[in-house]
Amino acid sequence: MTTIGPEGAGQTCPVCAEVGAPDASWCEACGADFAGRHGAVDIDGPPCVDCGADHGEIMEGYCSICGRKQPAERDHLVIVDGDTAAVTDRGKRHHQNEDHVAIGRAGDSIVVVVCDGVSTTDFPEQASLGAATAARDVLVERLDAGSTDIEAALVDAIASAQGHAALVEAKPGGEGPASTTIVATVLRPEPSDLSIIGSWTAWLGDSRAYWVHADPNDELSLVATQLTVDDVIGPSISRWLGADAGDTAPSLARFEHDAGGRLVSCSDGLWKYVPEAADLAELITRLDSEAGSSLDLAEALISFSNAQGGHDNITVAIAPT
Amino acid sequence: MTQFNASVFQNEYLPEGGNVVDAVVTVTAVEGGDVSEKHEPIIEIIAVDVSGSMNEDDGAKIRAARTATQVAIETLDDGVLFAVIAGNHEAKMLYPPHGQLVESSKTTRAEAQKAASRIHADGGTAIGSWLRGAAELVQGRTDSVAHVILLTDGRNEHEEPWELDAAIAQSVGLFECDCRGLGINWEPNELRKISNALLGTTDIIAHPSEMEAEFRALAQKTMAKQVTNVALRLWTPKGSTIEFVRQVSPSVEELSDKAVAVDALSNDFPLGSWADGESRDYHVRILIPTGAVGDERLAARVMLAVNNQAEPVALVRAVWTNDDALSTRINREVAHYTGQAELADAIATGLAARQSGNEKEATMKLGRAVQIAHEAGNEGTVRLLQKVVDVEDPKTGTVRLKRSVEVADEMALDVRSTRTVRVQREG
Repeated sequence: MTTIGPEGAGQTCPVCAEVGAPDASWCEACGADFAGRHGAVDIDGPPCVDCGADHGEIMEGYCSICGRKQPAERDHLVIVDGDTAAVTDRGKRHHQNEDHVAIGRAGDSIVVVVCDGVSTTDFPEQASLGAATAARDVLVERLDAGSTDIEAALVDAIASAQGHAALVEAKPGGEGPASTTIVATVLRPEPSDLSIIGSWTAWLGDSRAYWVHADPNDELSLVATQLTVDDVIGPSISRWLGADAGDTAPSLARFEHDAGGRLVSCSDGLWKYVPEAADLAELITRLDSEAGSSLDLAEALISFSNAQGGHDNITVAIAPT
Repeated sequence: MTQFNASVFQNEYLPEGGNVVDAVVTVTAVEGGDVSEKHEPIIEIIAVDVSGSMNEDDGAKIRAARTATQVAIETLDDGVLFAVIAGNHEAKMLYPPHGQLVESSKTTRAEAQKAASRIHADGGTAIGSWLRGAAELVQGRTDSVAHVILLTDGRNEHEEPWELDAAIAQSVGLFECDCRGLGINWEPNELRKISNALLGTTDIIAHPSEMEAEFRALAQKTMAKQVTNVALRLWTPKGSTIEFVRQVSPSVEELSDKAVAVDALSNDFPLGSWADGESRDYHVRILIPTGAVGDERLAARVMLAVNNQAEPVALVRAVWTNDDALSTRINREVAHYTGQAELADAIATGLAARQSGNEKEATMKLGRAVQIAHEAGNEGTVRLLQKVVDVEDPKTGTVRLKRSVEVADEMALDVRSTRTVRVQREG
C-alpha cells in the first residue's frame, strides 16, 4: 500500500511523489494505482532507457540528451494482490497504453476490472483509468460492508465507472469524448459450500472474462468458458462507457464453478490472437508448464501477444481459486 | 511586456527507419503581463541616396527623396532616437550635424525636416560607407530596436565588393535594415545581400511618386516594435542535424547559416525585433537518430529567447510506426510551405534563365511558378508573373514568355518572389 501522510494530509504517490487527496485510490498526476504494486520504484529514478543518461536529465518525460520519451508507468503496469495478478501493456503499435486494470479483495471475494479505452476518442486513457478504479472501489466497499446482492453492487459499480468516464473532457475540435469498454467480475465462494465459486460479471463492449479450469476428461489440459458475450457490430463495439454512451446498463452473467479454476479477464489486445475459448485454453495449457505463478502466466500472455505483433494495448488479469 | 506563443504543425509519425522530421512552427508575439512596462528604446536611421544620378528624371527623384525623408521624420514618435544620413561615395550626417543620435521631439523633427529640404545630389555610390555610418551611430546600444531605412537608386560602384561585405558583417546584430531600390538602375542581389544579413526586406520603388508612402510605412513599422534581440532557440537531440531553419511567412528567408551555438545541443536563430500581434512561420527540418516502432523521441524543443532568456514554447516530436496510413501522411502546412519555397526558387531560376537567353528553361520554371502560386492562392505573385509571361492555363502551368517586359516589372517579380501566403483554411 501507499504511504499515508499525517492525518488530513494527502497521500504521496510512490511513483511520481505527487500528493493527492487522502482517499484517492490512484494518482491524478501519473495514473499509478495505489492499491497495487508498481514494480521497482526508484526514488532517484531510472536512467534514460535509450542513452543511459542520469535520471536528472529527464525533463517532462523526455531525455534532454537523446530526446527519447521515457516509458510511462502505464506502458507496462504490474499489479499483484495475493495470488491475483494483473498486467497491462502498451503493446508494440500504440504510442500509449489506453487499457487499465484494477483488482481488489474483500474477505474471501475477489474483484477484477478490465477497461479498454477506445483509441479513436480524446483521452481514452483517462476514461479507462477512472472507470476501472471507480468500479473496483465500489465493489470492494460493498463486499466489505457485507452486501450479498452482488448484481446490485455491479450495477452501481458500472454506474460509478460511467460517472468517471463521462467526466473526461474532450479536446475542442478533437475526435470526440473519451470512451472505454469495461468488464467487472466478482468471485465469491458459496457461503454454504466453499468448493463452489460463484462468478458475477458485468460488461459493456468487447473486453472479456473466462473461467479456465482442468478438463475433467484430461487432467493435463485446460478448458475455458467465456463468461461474457461481446457487444459488437461488425468490427466495432456497440456499447461503451463515456459522455456519448447511450444506455450504460451493463450486461450481467452469473455462473457457478468448482473451486480450483481461474478467472482470466482480458482486453482484445490478447483475445484477438486467440479468438475462440478453446484457443485460449490451449495457449494457457502450453504456457502453464513454464509459469509458476499468476503473475508469470499474465506476463507470458503479454509476451505472447507482443510476439504476435502487439497491434493493440494488452491487458490480462488472472485470479486463481 | 511582449510574450511569445508558438504552435507546431507536423506529422509526427515516421516509418520504421525514418529519420527526417519536418515541422512548421508558427510564432506569434502577444501583448502580455505588465502592459504599462515600456517597450525597448527605438532607433530609426534614414540613409538616403544623394548620388549624382538622383538628379535624373528632371529632379523628380531628389524632390521625392526630400519629401519622403520629411514624411519619415514626421512619423517618428517622441523619444525615438534618430538620425538622417545623406549617402553618396561617403556617408554625411544630414541631421543632427554633430554625428550622434538625437531624441525625437517637435523641435528636433522640425530641424531635421528643414535639413532634408536642403538635400542636393552629387557624387558616387558607396553603400558600405552608409552602413558604417549607421553602425557608428548605433554602437553600444544593443538593448535598442535599431532600424535603418536604406534607399539607393544605383549600384554600389564606388567601393570594392569586399568593403560592402565587411560593412554588412560589422552591422550584424547592431541594426536591422530594410532596403529600397528607386527606379531600375540598382542591383537586386546587392540589396538582398544587405537585407538578408540584417533581417530586413528588399523591394522596388519603381516611381519617385511612390516613395513617400513607402517611407511612411517603413517608419510606422519601426514605431510598432516592442521587443528586440529575439531568437528561435532549438534544442535537438544528440546525434541529430538541423538540415534547415527557414522563415516561410511572411516571406521565405533562410536562417540556417545564422545559427549561433548556445550549448552542445542548442542553437539560436536570430529573429530580430517584433511588434505585438506579429506572427511569422518557420519551417524546420531535422535529421534525428531513428527509433524502434512504438518509440517516441523529441526531435526539437522549441524555445523563444529574448535577450538570451529562453522560454520553452513547443515540442517537435517523432513517433515511429509501421502503419503506413499514418507515416505517409504529409502535414498540410509543411506541404504548403515546401511549395512556397519551390515557388520562390522557380521564379529566381526562371528569371535567370530568361536573362541568359535560355527560353525553354525560363518557360518551364516560370510556368511551374504560375502553377504553384495559383494552387496556393498566392494571387499577388500570380499578378507579378503575369507581367512577365502570358498565362494560358494556370492549372497546368502552361505559359508563354512575353516578348517585351518592363524592366521594373521583372525586378518587382525578382525581389517579391519570396513573399508567401499562409495556408488557406476552409470556412
